[in-house]
Amino acid sequence: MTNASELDAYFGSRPDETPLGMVVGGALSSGLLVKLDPRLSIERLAVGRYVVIQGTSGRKFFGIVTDIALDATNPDLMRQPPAPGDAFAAEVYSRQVAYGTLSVSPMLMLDADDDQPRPNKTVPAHFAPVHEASAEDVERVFGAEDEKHLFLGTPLDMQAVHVNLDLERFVERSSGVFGKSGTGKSFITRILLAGIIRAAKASALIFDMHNDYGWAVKDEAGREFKGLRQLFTGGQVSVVTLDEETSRARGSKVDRVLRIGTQQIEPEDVEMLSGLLGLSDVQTGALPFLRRRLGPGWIDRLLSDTPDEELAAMVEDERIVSSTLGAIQRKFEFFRRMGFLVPGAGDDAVDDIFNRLKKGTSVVLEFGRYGNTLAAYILVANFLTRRVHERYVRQKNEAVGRRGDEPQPLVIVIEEAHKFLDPVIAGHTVFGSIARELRKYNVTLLIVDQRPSGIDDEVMSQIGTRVTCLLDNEADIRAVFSGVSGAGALREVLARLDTRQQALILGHAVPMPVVVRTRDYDESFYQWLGAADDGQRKERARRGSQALFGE
Amino acid sequence: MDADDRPIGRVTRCSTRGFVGAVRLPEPEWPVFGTFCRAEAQQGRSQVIGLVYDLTIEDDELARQLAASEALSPEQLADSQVNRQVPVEYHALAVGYHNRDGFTQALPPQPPLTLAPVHLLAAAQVRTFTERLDFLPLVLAVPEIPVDDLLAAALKTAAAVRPESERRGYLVRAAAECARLLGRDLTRLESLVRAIRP
Amino acid sequence: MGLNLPQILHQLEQMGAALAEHEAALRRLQPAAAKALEHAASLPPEELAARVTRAGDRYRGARPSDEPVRQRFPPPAVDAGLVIAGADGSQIYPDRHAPALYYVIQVGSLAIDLGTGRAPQTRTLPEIHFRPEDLYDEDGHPVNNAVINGRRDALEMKALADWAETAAGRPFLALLDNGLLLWFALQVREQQQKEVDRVLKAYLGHLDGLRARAGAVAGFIDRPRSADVLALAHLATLPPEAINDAALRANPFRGLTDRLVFEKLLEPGERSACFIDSSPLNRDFETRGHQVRFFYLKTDARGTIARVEVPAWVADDPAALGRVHAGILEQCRATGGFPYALVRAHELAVVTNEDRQQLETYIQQRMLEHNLAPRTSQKATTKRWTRGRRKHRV
Repeated sequence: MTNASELDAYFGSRPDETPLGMVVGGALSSGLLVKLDPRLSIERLAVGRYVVIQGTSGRKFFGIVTDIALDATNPDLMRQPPAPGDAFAAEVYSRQVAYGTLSVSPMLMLDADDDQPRPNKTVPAHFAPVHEASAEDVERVFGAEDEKHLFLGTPLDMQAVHVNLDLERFVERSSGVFGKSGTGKSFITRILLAGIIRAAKASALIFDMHNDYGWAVKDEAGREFKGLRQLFTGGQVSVVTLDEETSRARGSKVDRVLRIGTQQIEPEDVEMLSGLLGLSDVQTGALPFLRRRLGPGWIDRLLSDTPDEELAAMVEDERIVSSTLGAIQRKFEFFRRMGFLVPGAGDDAVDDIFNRLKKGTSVVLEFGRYGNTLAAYILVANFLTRRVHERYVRQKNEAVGRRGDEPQPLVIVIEEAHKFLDPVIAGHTVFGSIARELRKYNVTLLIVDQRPSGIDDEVMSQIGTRVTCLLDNEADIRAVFSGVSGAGALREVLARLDTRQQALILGHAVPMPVVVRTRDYDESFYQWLGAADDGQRKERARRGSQALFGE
Repeated sequence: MDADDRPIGRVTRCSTRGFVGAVRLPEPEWPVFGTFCRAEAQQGRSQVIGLVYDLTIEDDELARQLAASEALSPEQLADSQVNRQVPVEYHALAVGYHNRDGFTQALPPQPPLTLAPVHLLAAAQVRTFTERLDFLPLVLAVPEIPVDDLLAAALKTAAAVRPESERRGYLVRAAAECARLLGRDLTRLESLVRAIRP
Repeated sequence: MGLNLPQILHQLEQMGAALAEHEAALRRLQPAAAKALEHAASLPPEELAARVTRAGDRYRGARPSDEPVRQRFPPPAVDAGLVIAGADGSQIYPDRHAPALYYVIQVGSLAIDLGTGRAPQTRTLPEIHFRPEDLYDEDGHPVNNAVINGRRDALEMKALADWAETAAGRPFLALLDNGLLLWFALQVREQQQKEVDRVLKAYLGHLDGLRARAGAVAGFIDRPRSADVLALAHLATLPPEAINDAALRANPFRGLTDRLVFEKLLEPGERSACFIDSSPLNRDFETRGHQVRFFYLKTDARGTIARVEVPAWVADDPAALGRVHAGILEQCRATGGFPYALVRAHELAVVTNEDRQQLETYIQQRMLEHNLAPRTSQKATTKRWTRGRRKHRV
């Protein structure tokens, strides 16, 4: 094992490393079986760890531990174990007769003359020694931290090693952050977005339902952390709010208030809300007719207290049933309650937002009090996304025709994604289209969700990179792995994640699945972004001036 | 080989599987079940290492007479136990040999000669010899002798010549090797482990 | 080929018959012998003594001591802290068929501290003699085996004397597996007088040593065949004037032994009266103050009779005599009629055939080392060919 080959010289030698064990069986499809060295304590191992298998002729296999089991040479041992308290017999048996096994999913292989690991297509030979992966191994696989790679976290039990996410590949496809509530999804999403923004890989349009992204975010325990607007003070992030009053009360720096004119709303915007508003199919079907007949002010007219002759006429002509109209009007009262909806044509908010995004600025849309109303969230997210997407399509087509520039890549961040992407409506919504388009128009999604099983399968299969925290629902777990080959073996790994600050990352942006302890979202993170604490900055300035002026 | 090991008579019969020795010694000095001895072979060029597994004591009329008597005095009893050089015959299983290249744990190429001197193996040699455990299968493979008891006794002998701090570790290692060889037969393994336990 | 039993078997028939007849004859004699002894006992001691004097030098029977001839003596108590030593010897006689000419004497002995519970101290001392002065007499004749026996006897007595020294102050009893008289002297007197004298001198010197240390010494004879006391009984039946060689020779009790008489007379543990041995050998001993006396002893419940010989200085000392009596009985308890110390002394002394062969192997090796070619005689070689071999199987 430790013979001084060229390979070892290239990778660095491994002094005093005992193999964990050796490969004794298994298959490419179901994973490898590794028999553990009896001198090793099985209790020290964990699923999710990385191992390196030394094949013959210098080839190395990188794999992840997906299961740990106990076995014995003689099945009778289970019925005739040593007497309790007999430490001597237990020690004797656990050397040869009773032993531990690991299941390992081989993911990548590296030949002696390769410089990059490649996906795995074969298995190592019998009795190939298996080692814990070293820091160098992990770096070899994930690459060094640089402008294109974001340090996202450390592998299990390897605090010194950085797992670096390929940001370009991350934004190349739609991606998802999953996990049951309380597992830290928004922390991870903030880190990802901060990385994307810092590297200027894309603009982000973030529909911030619960004030988790923009300014002064709070965790469950009430501790305060910096939002993206605070992290990026140089204008890379704008905060747009629907609820100015709440935002100002919170001390949020607001760059623009969003008002939507009722005349800007179209039937397609309302269709997504049918379920939430309680509109029946008949009622939903009547909306385009009403719009056509009533014109742009259709909502104002439907909500108006004064009787409308044309409406009465439509009823009499039996173009619309009276009860249907009545129901629609009643349910449209909802719009009246939405303070960000103003009668009339509204303003140029959409263009403003689009221009910011075009410039490379990311936009956080705060919902304020309206964040608690799911219908408001869906209405606004859908409204803006449709229109922004439309502009993107136009700009992209112009670029293709060589009459303009490529639009700046855009990542749209939505929470409660299963509400937008469930199998029933996924086919009809802009979000479903965006997911399926695969960045045809430079737009991708970043969905944050705790019920991935609620998301349409076809959409799920288009999610390139999945960052998953702990999930405990079988259907959710299956959903996260759908469309990723060979990932089923990682099921055990996923089920054993810590409740916080641990995530399994698989998919497009990583060469092989990895379990990380996500990096801390704290002063060191702020400093890395160049956004040190105000207090600290003042202190630095003071010291600096002291040095200069000797005060 | 060193001179601090004790002579225990001479070979009377032999083959490559083992040898029989005879000696006249008072009882406290008899070779013990499960101890190691060596007999000269190949005109002194090698030593056959034997593991003592059977002891027989020749017919002793006087002992029988005294045993049956009710008038045995304490001095007579002590005389028999301490002084009387009773002819003892012991059987030793060949578990290896020693020559210029050191110890080898396999059947020896040649048996010792008749009347070759036999010595108990000194403690330091027992330790060196038993460091490797390839002799275990040689013992386990022999039919018609109580191999499990013999093995347990031999391993206890091997442990006893090691410093206190190493004994347990050695017994675990040796017992684990037995476990590997006897894995199929858990009952047998259990008794062996129980017998070896420190 | 072994003994040709088939040929001999029919001769055994005759033997059986003869033995039976002989036995019957002896039984018929016994009552008469007992009566004769009674009669001898009834005579006043001076009269008995007078008859013995009349019998002259040629009388070889027992002579009475101070003790009445038919007296029985019960066993006394054993001394506290008694030390009992026993010695025995064995030898390898010179063999002209052997690779070299030599002889070996080995004396085994031990000392038992009664009542201590300690294991006895043992000693086995071998000597090998190979020099011409040991192997040949002054005339160049090879020394007689009987002389070698005598040298052995002297070494046995020496061993006992050495133990007496270590016993230092405690009551001490030395036992010999044999009579005290040196019978070898009778076998070689004529030719090798000097050797005899030398042996006798050494032997008697050791007896002096024992006496000086107040140790008691006794020779123990198992299954005695002597008829000395019967001779005395017969003598007593003769009227004094009728005593002559012919009358003495006409002993009707021929064939009987003293043992048979005393078997009937003594109870277990009892001894007979002491008698004086009439052998001419006793005269040499007498001059040095070691006149040999003897008595019969019933050693156990089964009725075994032994003959015990003691020097006069033991016989005349009641304490010493009692020590011999009690000591021997004590030693016979566990072993049924033969003293334990002598059983062990014999064991310590014994030299087996294998020992001898091994010895000769070593001798041959030494000879080879000195570039001598050991030659066994052809006779010895052919004897070796006809011994069996055995194969070893594990």
